[in-house]
Amino acid sequence: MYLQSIHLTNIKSFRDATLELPSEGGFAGWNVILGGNASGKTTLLQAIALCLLGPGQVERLLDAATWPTAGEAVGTCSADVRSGTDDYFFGVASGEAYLSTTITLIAAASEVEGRKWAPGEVVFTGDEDAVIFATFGIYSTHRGWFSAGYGAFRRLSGASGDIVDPKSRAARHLTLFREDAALTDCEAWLTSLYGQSIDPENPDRDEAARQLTGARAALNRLLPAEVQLVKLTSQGAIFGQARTSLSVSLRQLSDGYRSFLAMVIDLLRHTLRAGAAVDADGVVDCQGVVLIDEVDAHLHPRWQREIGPQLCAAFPKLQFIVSTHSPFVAQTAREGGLFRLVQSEAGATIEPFPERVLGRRVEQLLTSSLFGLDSSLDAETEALVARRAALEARRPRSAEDEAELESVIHKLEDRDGAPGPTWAEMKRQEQLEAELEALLRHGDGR
Amino acid sequence: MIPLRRPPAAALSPETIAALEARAQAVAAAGTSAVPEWKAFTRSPAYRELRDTLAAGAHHKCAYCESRAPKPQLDHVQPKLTHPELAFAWDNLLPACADCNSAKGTQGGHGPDGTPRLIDPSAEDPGASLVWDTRGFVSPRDLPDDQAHARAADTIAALDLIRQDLRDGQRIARNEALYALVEAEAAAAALRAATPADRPAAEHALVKARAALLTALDLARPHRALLRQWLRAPLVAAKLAALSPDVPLLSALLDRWAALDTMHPTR
Repeated sequence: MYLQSIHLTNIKSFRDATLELPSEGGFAGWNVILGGNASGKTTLLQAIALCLLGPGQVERLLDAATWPTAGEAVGTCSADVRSGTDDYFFGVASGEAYLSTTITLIAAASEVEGRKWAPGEVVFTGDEDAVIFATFGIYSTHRGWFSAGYGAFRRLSGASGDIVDPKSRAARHLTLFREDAALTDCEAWLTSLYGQSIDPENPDRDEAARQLTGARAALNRLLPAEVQLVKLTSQGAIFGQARTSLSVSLRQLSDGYRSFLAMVIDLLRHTLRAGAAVDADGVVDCQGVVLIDEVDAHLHPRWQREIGPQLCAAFPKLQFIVSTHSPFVAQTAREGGLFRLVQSEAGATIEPFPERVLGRRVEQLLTSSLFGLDSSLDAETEALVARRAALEARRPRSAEDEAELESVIHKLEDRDGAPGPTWAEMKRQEQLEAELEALLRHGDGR
Repeated sequence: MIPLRRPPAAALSPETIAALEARAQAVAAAGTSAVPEWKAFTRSPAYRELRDTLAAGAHHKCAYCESRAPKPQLDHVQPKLTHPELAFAWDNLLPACADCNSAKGTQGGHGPDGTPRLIDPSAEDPGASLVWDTRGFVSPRDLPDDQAHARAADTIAALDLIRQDLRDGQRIARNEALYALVEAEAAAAALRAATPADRPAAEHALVKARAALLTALDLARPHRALLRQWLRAPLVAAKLAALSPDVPLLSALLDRWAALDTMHPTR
């Protein structure tokens, strides 16, 4: 299934906001939501999970009474979902159908569609078709209807997920709602798959071996070249680091790798458990929706730029909806798939960013309206530049003006580093300019 | 900002010239704002031809800041809001990037002596009144004429020509040329000193260095203003002249740079 759109009414800071996802060439791809701190990114992703999971699954994950905007008795999330060929309905593939689902969260006792509801309750409403579709399709345990959600904290160790049944669909979204939840048994899954693949008594041994080969290939294509999964034993996974040629266990890897691996192993585990096939190159044939909050967390900028394309290559049929602060992640959004959350008096809104971002430089993105910086230099330096322009424009200049101008120019000389999109380029420019000083001792042609 | 030669109006097709005249007459007849008429015009094929012709004349760069602008906006030198009679006048239009065009907004008009308040690179040499420092920061040239100084300061402010991307762009363009010049000098010297065995490698190195120098000095590339100023420095001019025998096409290219100086009569 894929999410076509979601509309939020009186949900936390969203008074009336719509997210409409691009569908040209299919829904699968990398959709990015940008927003400042406390702009509602997490709420939006949680609301999507809420609509995809249905009221029965999420009641234990959230406190519904806190969801409606302060002063409102109810808040609603309405989603338009498109089912895919992988999604089963009454035991048959549903083909491509639409489903509209509305989830109402109750803050104060109120009446919804003729029934009374108490604070904290979560209500599904829809017409008769929607009810049937929901009960025997999207909110059922039938095959397909895949979705997963990852919160900003993706730990390998910590509290286990005993709040929900680990086999339930809600378990795939637990970290999105609970900061303290950990993706604990990812490594256990890999080792158990290894065990199944060599167990001579296991009738599904070949299938397990095939899954293991695919999972290894998928992990290695998702990991950067300097860290690769080299060995899998019954004790755990061993990773090789190209730089130090040392072998380390999953727990010895740095934070960035650990949190990334925790997420991708979890995603692999859930897609394969949901019945998806993985080929020997590590490409997973699974439709569905994956939500990732603050996808850039712990990732090095170079990896931030690769994570979107890499995940989409390994999971070409998944629709990713991710939130980020990073221009590197925004740079790789699919066409029409970049949104920003804007806060205003009338509540938060979700605005599509109309221009193409592929091929833009990070500096250009930072200075576009997406991030709203006029310049990627710090504000104080830009203020000095503006002050210099103001003084240069003044005529006649007093002695004080002249003195200030000289001091501003002097200060700028120390600050205004050489330009260049990369550090290496900046260094090259600096070296060039040093040579220039030597060459042009006779003035710069004024 | 460097001097710009406006293509002759005859470069436009007769249909487009007729469309411009018809629009201008419609504005004159209505006696109202030219804004809606212009808005309707921007959706017509004539607009695209006009835009592409002006863009090609400016090497697909913004006439003001020289940033790359393959599909520029069309700026009204005298704003269409204050000068509706010039809204569709060929001489009043310049290709501009979105940043310059929106910064300029409805600024324009004339000074007390009747000269336009802002510098028009298609009518005068901006280098006569603007000067760039080696970090790409542009300021008014220190001229005795107070009004010329004010025009320069107004132009910088109106177009926000001290934007970071422009400072970087001007600075990088000059640095690239410097780098190419140093490399070409070294390659030419290496070839002169080369033993017969080293000659093929040295020749190859010079070919590459020549190409890099000609590219760095290409007039069609963005941000040429600081570079232009730098090329006039006596030391640089002397070095380039000395390289001319080793770099075919260099003297022809330098002639094109020199032609910028005489493109417009001095004000």
